[in-house]
Amino acid sequence: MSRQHASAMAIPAVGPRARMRAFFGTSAARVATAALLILVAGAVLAPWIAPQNPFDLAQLDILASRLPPLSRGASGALYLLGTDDQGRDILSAILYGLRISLVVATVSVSFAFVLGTAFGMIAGTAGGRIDALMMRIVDIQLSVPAILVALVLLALLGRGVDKIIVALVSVQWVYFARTARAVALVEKRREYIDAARNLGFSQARILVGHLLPNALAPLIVVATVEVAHAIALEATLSFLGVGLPVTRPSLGLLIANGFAFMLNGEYWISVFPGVALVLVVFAINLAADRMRDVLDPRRTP
Amino acid sequence: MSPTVCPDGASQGATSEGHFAAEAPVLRVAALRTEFATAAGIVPVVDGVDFALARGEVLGIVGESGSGKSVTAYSILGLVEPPGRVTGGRVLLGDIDLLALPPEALAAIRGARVSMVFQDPMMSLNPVLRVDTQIIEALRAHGSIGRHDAHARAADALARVGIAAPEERLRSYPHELSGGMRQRVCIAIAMLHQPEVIIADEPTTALDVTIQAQILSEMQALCASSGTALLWITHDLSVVASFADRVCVMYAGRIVESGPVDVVIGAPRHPYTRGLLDSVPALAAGGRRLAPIPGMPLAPADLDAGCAFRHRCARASERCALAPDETFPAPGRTLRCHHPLDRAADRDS
Amino acid sequence: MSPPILEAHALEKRFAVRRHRDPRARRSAATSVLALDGVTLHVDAHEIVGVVGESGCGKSTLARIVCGLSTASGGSVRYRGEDVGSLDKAKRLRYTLAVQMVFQNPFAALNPRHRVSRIVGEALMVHGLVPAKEHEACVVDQLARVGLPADSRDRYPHQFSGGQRQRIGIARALAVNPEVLVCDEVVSALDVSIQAQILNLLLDLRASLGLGSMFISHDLGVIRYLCDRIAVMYLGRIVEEAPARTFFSQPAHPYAVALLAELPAPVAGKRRFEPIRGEIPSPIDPPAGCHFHPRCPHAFDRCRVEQPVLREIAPGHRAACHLHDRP
Repeated sequence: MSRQHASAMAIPAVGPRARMRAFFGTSAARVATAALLILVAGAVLAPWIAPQNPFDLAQLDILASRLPPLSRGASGALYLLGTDDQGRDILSAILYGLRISLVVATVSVSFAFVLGTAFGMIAGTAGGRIDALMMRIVDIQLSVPAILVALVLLALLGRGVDKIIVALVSVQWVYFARTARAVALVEKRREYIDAARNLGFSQARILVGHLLPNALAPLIVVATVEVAHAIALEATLSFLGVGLPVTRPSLGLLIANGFAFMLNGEYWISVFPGVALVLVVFAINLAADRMRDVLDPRRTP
Repeated sequence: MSPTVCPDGASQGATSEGHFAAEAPVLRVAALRTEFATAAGIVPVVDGVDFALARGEVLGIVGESGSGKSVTAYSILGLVEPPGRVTGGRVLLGDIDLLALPPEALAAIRGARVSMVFQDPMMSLNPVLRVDTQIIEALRAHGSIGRHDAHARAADALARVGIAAPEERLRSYPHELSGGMRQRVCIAIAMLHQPEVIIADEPTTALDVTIQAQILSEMQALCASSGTALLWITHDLSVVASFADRVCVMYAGRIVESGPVDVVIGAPRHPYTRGLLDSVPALAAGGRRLAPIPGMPLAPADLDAGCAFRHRCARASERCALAPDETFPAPGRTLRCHHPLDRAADRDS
Repeated sequence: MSPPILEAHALEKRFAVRRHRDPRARRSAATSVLALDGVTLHVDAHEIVGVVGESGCGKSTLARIVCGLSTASGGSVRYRGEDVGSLDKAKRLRYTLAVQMVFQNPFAALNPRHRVSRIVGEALMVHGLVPAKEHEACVVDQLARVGLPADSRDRYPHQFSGGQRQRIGIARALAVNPEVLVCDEVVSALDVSIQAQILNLLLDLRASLGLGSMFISHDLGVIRYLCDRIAVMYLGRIVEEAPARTFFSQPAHPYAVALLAELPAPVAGKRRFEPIRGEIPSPIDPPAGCHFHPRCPHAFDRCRVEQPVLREIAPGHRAACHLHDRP
């Protein structure tokens, strides 16, 4: 009994504020969050802070194409990270590309979150044959590589922001479904769920009002990881030329664009978007790791 | 906060008692102090605990959650893990101070001269090894023994704790046994080397009533026949009442009252002991309403130097803001209270 | 005579055995466990009925079934004489709210993400039991009834101790104006001094609200303190049922006698234990005849083959034992 007591004293993070404090307890988490904030701010504020609008053809100067970093164009504008083959400022292209990548990733993850969580929670609480059937669907989906599913879908649907979101949602919902089911299976056996049933609450109220709030922590961790996955997957698809249309150059497309010039030594067209991609994915993963440590009591050291 | 260091007093307590008068105690704990580092700073969980254990004696340590009774047990065997740390006192087994021993030397004593039985048998049984493997391993840990002999001794050990068909049980895995059977295996392992002391931490709390009674009676018989002393950690006053020779009542890391079990339970002097007794339905006289202690214990971090019980105590006065010293109201008895109950008043209630 | 508020009638509950999961089942040919085997018991207003037994006796299963949290495989649960399986929606809700469970584990029984105000008050809102503007006051009333201060309502369960959480659980049940409380081992996780507080609270509630209770426990001491009538269960069957005074003075079933012998005497002093022999048999493969015969000091041939039926041996005193089978 005293041992329980002692371990109870050792769990520090209860309540949102304590969790926040615990989250920022490591320098890795602080650096990752700072990097993420800067990248997201850059993406959000791109129209106001980017030197040029890479979508506005009038602003592009074909004479200033493929300039190395830190060179100046005819108009005297500084190209901090150089320009691409159409005279686009790489820095601006990265900021706008990041914007597209982030929007696509968060929108698709949000849809996948809602769909997958609903699916998993229903499977977990229903149990029996319904659960078995629903989970076999998930297993089948998981046994096919995500990139393959996305490639096939995009080949059928064609290119477009909406289409890639559909493709991403259809490969990502399974992760939410699996996690949601696992949590639902554990939580539904808790006495507080029995208590809610004993008070005559409807199944829907118990699921949404009682079970879901207790299942959120692990799902939020999954969501964070999946945002990073979505960014990387979208970049891969765009790089392969089946993702976003060329009129909306995301990071993947930028990397693909510059790829042909790598051998000429014009590295910057591909490498800087690549660095931006790695940075954002890495930062999100670091934050997700820390979030897992803080939110999941079983992992609390 | 100053622990009243009186190992002599404690040993006096044990030796002055009739049937153990001739012998020196086998285990003597003096001014034991164990602290835990928490978010609120360093808090003492065991704060100056003294007691002595004579050969063949059953000493019950009674307390509620957070009283420090289990941490006391763990401290004796050097099993306190960070954020906890034993910061003071002595634990004398014969004339060896266990707290001063290097880890290897302590490990050699653990299981051989002092052994431990936990509340959850699965804490000491390995779920993937058969029972015979585990008993033989424990045998070989403290002395070399041939395979055949070891097996015979293992079967014998199980038979002694009342396990029917020991040969069959030896070939079982722990999960194939019932809870009571598992606890019996743990007790058999603890008794293997005829230790001088067994420390049992709530060994029957998780078991059914009828099984608990069986195990209690077997342990009672084993200790009596082998002269092993038993330190019995429990929250259950009613078990102590019918099982122990002496009892120490712990509250907030200190022993507030101790003495022969019939005296302490028959005529408690500390208001906390009285309150505990008045809270046990099984001990309440027929039809009388229980008179529970009001409120609840303070968190260790909120304790100050005074009597930890004064916030729940009807007899508390300003004096209680100062820690009461340990007094010895009768041979073999200790008490820490500024306003103890007197015996006459006690009989009336 | 009006029917009792809550009645379990010849309840049976069969669980499928997952052979690969349960090592005890491997050696047996059985494919199911009879967790409840013809259990009949009723609870009236103002009375506390104790159900006592060891692990595997089916007492928790009984609690879950009479509360409607689990369904029986046979027999029926009756609320004011009506089989709850055939109630319409409105009556079904009335029954659900009338029979409220208080749970064993005070740490798992409260939703950790809800404030106390919602834990206690949600049912009031959902079922429209009191006008919206009186919710707040009603929650405070319930908290006061169980001895918690009004400002508890803005806090979360983790901010309370075990005993206080158990009080919150009781307040939650009281909020819907139940007629029967089903308490499953509600004090076994609590320290003795806190346990006594909760037991006294239950007695006070009976006195002030006239609640009936089914109080399930393994602790005969607690049962003796609290209950008016006592049922002893062993491996899915009720083996004895009697008014408390009769039960403690003249227990009829050898198992009840054995349980009473373990009850510590109020007088201190070391004593020898004379425990009953043997382990509790696995419910998967219970002994034939009387389930208790392998451990019974009085067992004779008939006990090994013929299952004794629960019959009245004195007014209000029922026992299932061949020893009491004289005509």
